[in-house]
Formats: sequence, structure tokens, C-alpha cells
Amino acid sequence: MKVSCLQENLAKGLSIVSRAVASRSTLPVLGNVLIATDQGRLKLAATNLELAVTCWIGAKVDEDGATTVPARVLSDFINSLPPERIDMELNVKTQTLHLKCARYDANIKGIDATEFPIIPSIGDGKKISLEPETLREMIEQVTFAAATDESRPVLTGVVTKFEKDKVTFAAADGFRLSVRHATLSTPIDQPISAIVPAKALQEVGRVSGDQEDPIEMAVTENKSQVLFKLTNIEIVSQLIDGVFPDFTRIIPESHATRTVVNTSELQNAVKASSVFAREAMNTVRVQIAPSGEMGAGKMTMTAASAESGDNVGDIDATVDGEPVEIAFNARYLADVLNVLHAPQVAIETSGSSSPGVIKAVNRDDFTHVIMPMHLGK
Amino acid sequence: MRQIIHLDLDAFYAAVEVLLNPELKDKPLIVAMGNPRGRGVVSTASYEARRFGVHSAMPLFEAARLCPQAIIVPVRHHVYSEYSRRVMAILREASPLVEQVSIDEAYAEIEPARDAASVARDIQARIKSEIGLDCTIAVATNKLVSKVACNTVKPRGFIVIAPGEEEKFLAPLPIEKLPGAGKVTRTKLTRWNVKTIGDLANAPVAELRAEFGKWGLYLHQAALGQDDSPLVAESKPKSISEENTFERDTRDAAQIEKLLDEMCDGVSRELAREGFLARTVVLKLRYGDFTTITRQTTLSSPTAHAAEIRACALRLLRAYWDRRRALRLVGIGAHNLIEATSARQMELKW
Repeated sequence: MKVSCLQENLAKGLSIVSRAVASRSTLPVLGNVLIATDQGRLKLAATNLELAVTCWIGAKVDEDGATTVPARVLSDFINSLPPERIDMELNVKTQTLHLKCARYDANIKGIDATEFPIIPSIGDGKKISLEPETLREMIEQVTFAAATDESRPVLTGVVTKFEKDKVTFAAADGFRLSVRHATLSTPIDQPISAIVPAKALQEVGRVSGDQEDPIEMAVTENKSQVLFKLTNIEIVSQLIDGVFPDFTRIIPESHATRTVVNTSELQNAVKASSVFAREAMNTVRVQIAPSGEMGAGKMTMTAASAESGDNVGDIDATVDGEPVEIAFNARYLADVLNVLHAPQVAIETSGSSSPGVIKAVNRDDFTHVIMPMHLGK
Repeated sequence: MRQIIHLDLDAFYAAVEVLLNPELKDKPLIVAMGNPRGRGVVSTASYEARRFGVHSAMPLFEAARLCPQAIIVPVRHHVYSEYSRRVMAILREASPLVEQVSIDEAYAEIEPARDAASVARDIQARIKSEIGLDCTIAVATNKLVSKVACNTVKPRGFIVIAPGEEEKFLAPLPIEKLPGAGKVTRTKLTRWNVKTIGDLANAPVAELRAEFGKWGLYLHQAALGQDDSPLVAESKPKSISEENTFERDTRDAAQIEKLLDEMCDGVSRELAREGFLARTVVLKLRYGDFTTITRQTTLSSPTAHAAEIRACALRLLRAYWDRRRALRLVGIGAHNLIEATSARQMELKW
């Protein structure tokens, strides 16, 4: 293999595939990145057997070939190079990759590319076309609610449902639920539903920043894998096998109080309370007082820590319904407010031990449910 | 002038075993950790067994050689903690300011207006009559002197060091009786020919300071019987854990998991008893060559449930145990504790 490319392109390509590199695997080749010529371009790929990311970069190919080299060594070296042309040549016998850039030279010891797992690609099966901006927002608004601990594997995934021109993403970690709907520009004929690991979707979100054309998504026939095809990037992930709990049942159908506040004011109040809440299981107490003769409605947030002290913060609120006293995990509130992208937020509650529902005002495509904190003695 | 009581239960584990099985009374008894025929060590020896030279931390096979007639019983922590709690409750009735040092040892500070010696007598009598356990109590003006004094009169001892008598009391005692005077310190002290605490009190302070730094100053003050350290009341535990050494190094997954199971139950019980929930579960593995790894997992909601702790432990074991290597020891710990009564995140009701 003999190939040349630009340092910026290689560095960017490596950062795209890097998250799929297995960090501590018993299989050494999984810690490597595959470098292969592919129809006049250079293909980079990494996989940890659950997630595989492949990326193509522009290159001048003098001689076809492939190898794998330790991902960390390669990226650290490439990132230290000047933004110039890199010439690479593989010594097939020793599987040593020689790199030359400006006045830098390196030889990196690799492992034969035949040992690298074959990354599945999806043929001409049924593809779903997704607008990149919408998909990115869906990913952002839903994946954070997925579980990070593996005790209930299905909850580390995002349930994705496609039917006609409707798409729904939902994730829940047992304490909160995020649901986002959107419309497909190209309707599909067969409904599809799959549980995609939240981590895989987060990768799609991370690498799709420059994407302008629609992103194609496809689920394999046997429903074991999902593929996301971007311009020059492909992400393949195992699907999570299992039954996702029926999340529609936990979205309350009614509420006793609806409170509308300014999103950024609420974000600030939550941030201030977090200072004290973090030593108290992140507990913030929320008191909502409807407007009355005494003036406008308000929402009061308090947090107290036995060690560091306490705080109170007030924000104006438009309250419709009963007064409310409820406690939430401050981090959960901050998480959802961060992804709301709306100037005003509505909080619907029905008592201190019933779930709170958070929505963007004037938007009905996003629903977030948070279970309250139960206050001890 | 402060009044400090130091209470130390006599051969505590052995005494509890005798209490529960009177047939063991007056017999050489060894409470052992681990298997008697394997790698066990002596946890506590009754005074009858101590007469043969058996002492804590001694390998069991050696104890059995010194005292072949000894009765060996396995250690039962949960039983002893219950008795310990009852003892500490009596102590707390006598004084609100109690520092529990370990399961069988505590300090209490008695307010100046009361007669500490009679309070202490009363405590000792109540522990004997209400619980049935013997203890040794010393009363002094500080923690250091009360602790040293207590050790001089065990078992079933009672001693009061009157204010002003501290230095005189300590002076004739061998230097190893002074807390903090370990092997290394004692070797260095031979330069001044220090054999007793009194010798240390007479050693030139400047030279001690030059040799030991601040520690030298502490040694000098301690030798004079001076100590103003306060009682540290009730600090909450940082973690609750159990560990066990296998009889023989093992690669038998079923055996390892069974032991982990039992330990998870134990940790869960202890969490419940202490009123805590754990956010982090830590697995400790020690291989036959003594290399030790600890791996942890953090739960999304804190727990004291045995099943949840067990699930974490097994997951960690399956992920991190190198099956080619036999294990010598496994341990399970509950860390990142929060009080069970504090706020708790409610779960979605599917």
C-alpha cells in the first residue's frame, strides 16, 4: 500500500472513527484502526464489535493495500504533525506502516488487515431517509434519558419507531422518559421498530455536524443491526434485543397544575440550587404558587445541604391550577432544559409523588417525564 | 479538668460465644476467621487460650499447635455487632459524648460536675448484669492515659488515674505500651536508651524534635501523659464491606459466586442495620500471586437490596475476573453511602 493524504483529513477521519475503538479488549486488533485503499480513497474503520464506524477521506492512491495500526499511536502522532501532506507506505512483510510528513517520519507496527473483523454493510434493503438537522435534535433530546448502567440493557437503548411519515424516538432510565416525534419527508410503507443503543445514536449525532444531505438509516433483515449512512461515513451498531416497556403508559394524560416559566430563568434557578443540592442527592424543592390577589404566580426553588448551607430562588410563573410542592433531581431538570431549545417551558404536575411532565410551550413534538424525589424524614 | 472513660470489652468475640453457649465457659476458646484446617487466623482467643500463648492474628495452625485442646469456632460478626450495640447504648446513656473506636472499644467524656469513677463503676456493673459481658474501664483526664491505663488492668479491670498523676503512672511502663511508639520509633529511641515511658519523658526534647520532627514533640508530650485530643463522636461509615479468603485458591466459578452471594447478603444486612444505601458497589479480587484488583460500578439509584448488590458483584466478576487465574480472595464493598432516610429518587411506574 502506498498512499498520500492531507494531515487535516486524516486527523479528522481518525477522530470520527475513534469512539468505536475498543479500549480494553482481549482482542488486540480491536484497539487498531483499519487503513485501506478503497476506489481511489482511503478508508478508515474501527469497531468494538458493538459499534463500527467507517469513514472515507480523499487520498492519492499509488498502490492498493490495507493494514491496521494501533489507533491511539496513530492519532497521537498524526495530531502532532503540521497541516501538510502525509505519505504512507506499508511494508507488507513486517506490517509496518511508514509515515512521512514534512520533516517528520514514523514507523508504526501494525496487525494484518485480514485479522480485522468484517464490518457488515447493508445492501439495497429498505432505507429510511432522515433530515440531518431533525435527526440531530431528536438524538440530543432523547439519548440523555437512556440508562448508562447496564443493569437493564434495554434501557441503555433508544426505541425508534417508524410508521408511514411518523418517527418517534424514546428513551428512559427508569426515573425519566424523553419522547420526541417528527415527520419523515419520505414516508415508508412498512412500519419499523428497533432499540438502538443510545451510544450509537450519540455517535451519529457527533459525526453528523457537517452533514447536509439526508442520512439514510436501515435495519437488517434479521433485526440484529442498524446502519446509518452519511456522506463519507457509515455507522453500524448492534441492536438491543428485548422488549422496551410501553412508555406511552407512563405519560400522564392529565394534570392538576400547569406552570409556564421562562426557560433560561428556570435554568439559572436550577443551576443556583445545584450548588447546594449536590450534597443532598441533588434534591431541589419546587414550590409553585398560583397568581392571586397578592400578585403574579411564582415558582420557588430551594436546596439545602447539611454541610454547606441552603438557597432560595424565585422566578415569575404563569400558573394554572392548584399550588404545588414537589422535589426533583436538579440534574434531571438541567438535562432537559438544556435540550429544550424553546424560550418558554411548561411544567405539568399532579401532586408531589406523581410524575412531572416538561414540554416546550407551543411545541407538541417533545415530551419529557421526570419522577419526583421522595423526601425522607 | 476533663474526665475520660476508656472502655474495652474483654476477649469480646470469645465472651459472646461463651454467653451464647455456656458449655464453652472456662475453656480455651478460639474465634477464628477462615477454616481451622486451612488458612484461618485467630480473631479472638479467650483468656484461657491466651495462657498458652495464643493471640489475635496468629495463624490457626500455630494456635492449634500451642493449644491443641482449644475449641475453635468461626467468627460471627453480625452476632457481635448486636452485642456491641447494646454495650454502646449503655455507654451513651451515661454520656452523650461517646467515641466508638471499634466494635469492642470506646471512649466517653463525663461532664466535670459528675464523679466519673462512680459513673464508670455503674457502667461496668450494668454491662455485666444486663448483658453478661466483662469489660475493663479506665478513667483519666485524657484519652491517651485512659487507653494506656485500661490495658494495664485487663481483664475485668478498673483503674482511675487521678489528675496530676498521669506522668507518674506512665513512667514505669515499658515504652511499647505508649500508643504510637511502634517498632521503628522504638528502634530509633534506643539512641537515648529509652526502655520505659519515663525514659522517654526524660529524653531531651530538642533532640527528639531533630530526629522525629513534630512527631518527636508528640512523643514527648505523650510520655508526660499530656493529650488534648477531643472525642470524635459518631462519624458515619464511609463504606461497608466484607472479604473472604478461599480455603484453597480457586477457579471454580460456582464456588466463587456462592461466596459472593453470601457476602452480598451480609453487606446488605449491615447497610440496612446502619440505615444506609450504597451508590457504588466495589468488587475486590486477589489472585494466588497476591496481585489485587478492585473494580466498581455505580448504580443509578442507591440500594441496600442484596439482589441488586449481588447483580452488580456478579457483573463485575464476569467482566473482570481473568478465568485462567485462580482466586485467593474475593471482597465486596458498598461505597458512596447515603442515609436511607434522605431524599430518594422515585422510579417510573411502567
